[in-house]
Amino acid sequence: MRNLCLLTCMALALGLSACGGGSSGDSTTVTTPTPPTTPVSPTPPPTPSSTANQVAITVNQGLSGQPDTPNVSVTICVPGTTTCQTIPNVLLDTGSFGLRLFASSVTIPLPTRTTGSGTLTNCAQFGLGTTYGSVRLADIKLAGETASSTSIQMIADPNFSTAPSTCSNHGALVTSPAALGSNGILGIGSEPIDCPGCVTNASAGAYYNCASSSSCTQTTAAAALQVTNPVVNFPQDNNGASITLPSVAATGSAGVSGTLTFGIGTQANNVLGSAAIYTITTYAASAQYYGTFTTLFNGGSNVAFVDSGSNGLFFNDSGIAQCTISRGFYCPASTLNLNAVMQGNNGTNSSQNFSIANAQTLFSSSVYAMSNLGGTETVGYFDWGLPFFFGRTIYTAIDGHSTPGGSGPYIAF
Amino acid sequence: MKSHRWLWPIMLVCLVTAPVAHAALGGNAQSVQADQASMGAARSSAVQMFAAVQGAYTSQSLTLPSGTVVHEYITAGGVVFAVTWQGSTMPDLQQILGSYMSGVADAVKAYRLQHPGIGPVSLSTDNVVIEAGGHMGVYVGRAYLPSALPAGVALSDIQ
Repeated sequence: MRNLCLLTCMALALGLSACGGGSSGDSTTVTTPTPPTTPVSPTPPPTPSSTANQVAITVNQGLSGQPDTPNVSVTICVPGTTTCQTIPNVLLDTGSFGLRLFASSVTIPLPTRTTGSGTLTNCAQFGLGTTYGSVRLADIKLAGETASSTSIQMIADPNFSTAPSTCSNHGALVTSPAALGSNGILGIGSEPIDCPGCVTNASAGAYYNCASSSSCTQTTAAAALQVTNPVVNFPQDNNGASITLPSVAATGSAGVSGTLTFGIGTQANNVLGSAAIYTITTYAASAQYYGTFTTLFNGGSNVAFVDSGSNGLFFNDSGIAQCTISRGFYCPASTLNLNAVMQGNNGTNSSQNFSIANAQTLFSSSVYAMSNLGGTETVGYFDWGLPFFFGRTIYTAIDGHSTPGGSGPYIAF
Repeated sequence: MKSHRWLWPIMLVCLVTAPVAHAALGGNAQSVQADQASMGAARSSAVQMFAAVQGAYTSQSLTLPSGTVVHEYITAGGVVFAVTWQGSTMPDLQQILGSYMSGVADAVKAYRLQHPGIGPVSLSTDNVVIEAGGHMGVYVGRAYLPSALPAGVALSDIQ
């Protein structure tokens, strides 16, 4: 590898060009310098709101027939105008932060987010896939809520179709709704922005300053420029959200409908009630494990997270047969009844029973909502995906935002 | 090279400013050591490495500037047979998968057409197994060469 660098550098030197790999020191950051990341100051207690704050969720065949995929419709507008478009089938994801839409799904002229002399582009990773595209500004409208002039990612933007290698080397480029199974991703997880570390670190491979469509250099990105969880940009009901989905029978369902509700303890329809609060790790506490808590399973302790964007319960149990066709999913001969203990950082804990059915049987039975779909995850990690949401209301409170149950981040149910 | 002495300062700068590089899956131990020395000298403030001998294999840990930790597992015969990662950013898969990257990328695309979405991925192709999960800001995964696993090494050791 070093020889390759030498050859490359020699070639560059012979061409009288500058050399260096682009990993550090050569980014031309033109954004206004910002102070190092500081924890978001807790916001004042939520004020009562009467804004319409609920959006319908559907878990059905959707765009692609991918099971356990919760979709919502999102309205975007050119900022400050009535030029708007409603985009259906956007994946509702508590495991990411910010709105991402395929350029092919967007028909209105959203302005790009500029940084100094260039255009800001964004690169994000999802399960060995990478989304790349320009950062655009939109008014995001969900029910009666509006996140004004908020940064979103325009995936596969034809104006910036060449992903820098430091982006595309992080995963296979996702360029069409067919590969995602949705027209985009609505990330409403526990952080306000998609890359807290990028405020000071330019080499994360997440943000680029593009002088032209194919000339992009890695850059830092101030929090205000980054792809932003739209919830935090609402004038009210902005401390988190909850997802309510009905129970699903063991044999699955062709489709179910639920509700996404904005705000926690801000209106009569989003009170915590008896929900137990499980605090999760803040970015300030750990840049490596933020958004996670603990789950005990099979005698081991796991880094755990609750993620509506994961379409199954994913954990490591080498004793469960894997599917031969749908690799990565579990295919036990008969349904397994299992148990794990969820443990918040605040000590709240509960025993959770769950079932894992034969995924191949489920996949072949024309159902799209499955309460017992599971698969493998890296040893030491436990992903409570969409099956865990069925029959519950699950709240996600945002880092640094106050709620009647304390400051986020936490999950509660 | 006599007539190109002016090149040497430029090449030296290139070495010092080269991207973080390390041995790829299937690569050899010599390249690991060379890269380790190079990186340790050039990026000592940003890159920490250490090695531990675990019987039939050696493991190395590399902490990227983002904080992401990459472990590389090397057989006694000097072949990198597994890599793992955990951290707030994905590692450069091209670097750690090397010649397997192209096949893996194709397999991921094919997998996503069968299983669209953003959940964990587990697939096997071209003699390599790759598994990845986590969520935005917490990425975790591993890749290994089943045919190169030293005798007696359990998959649960690779993490």
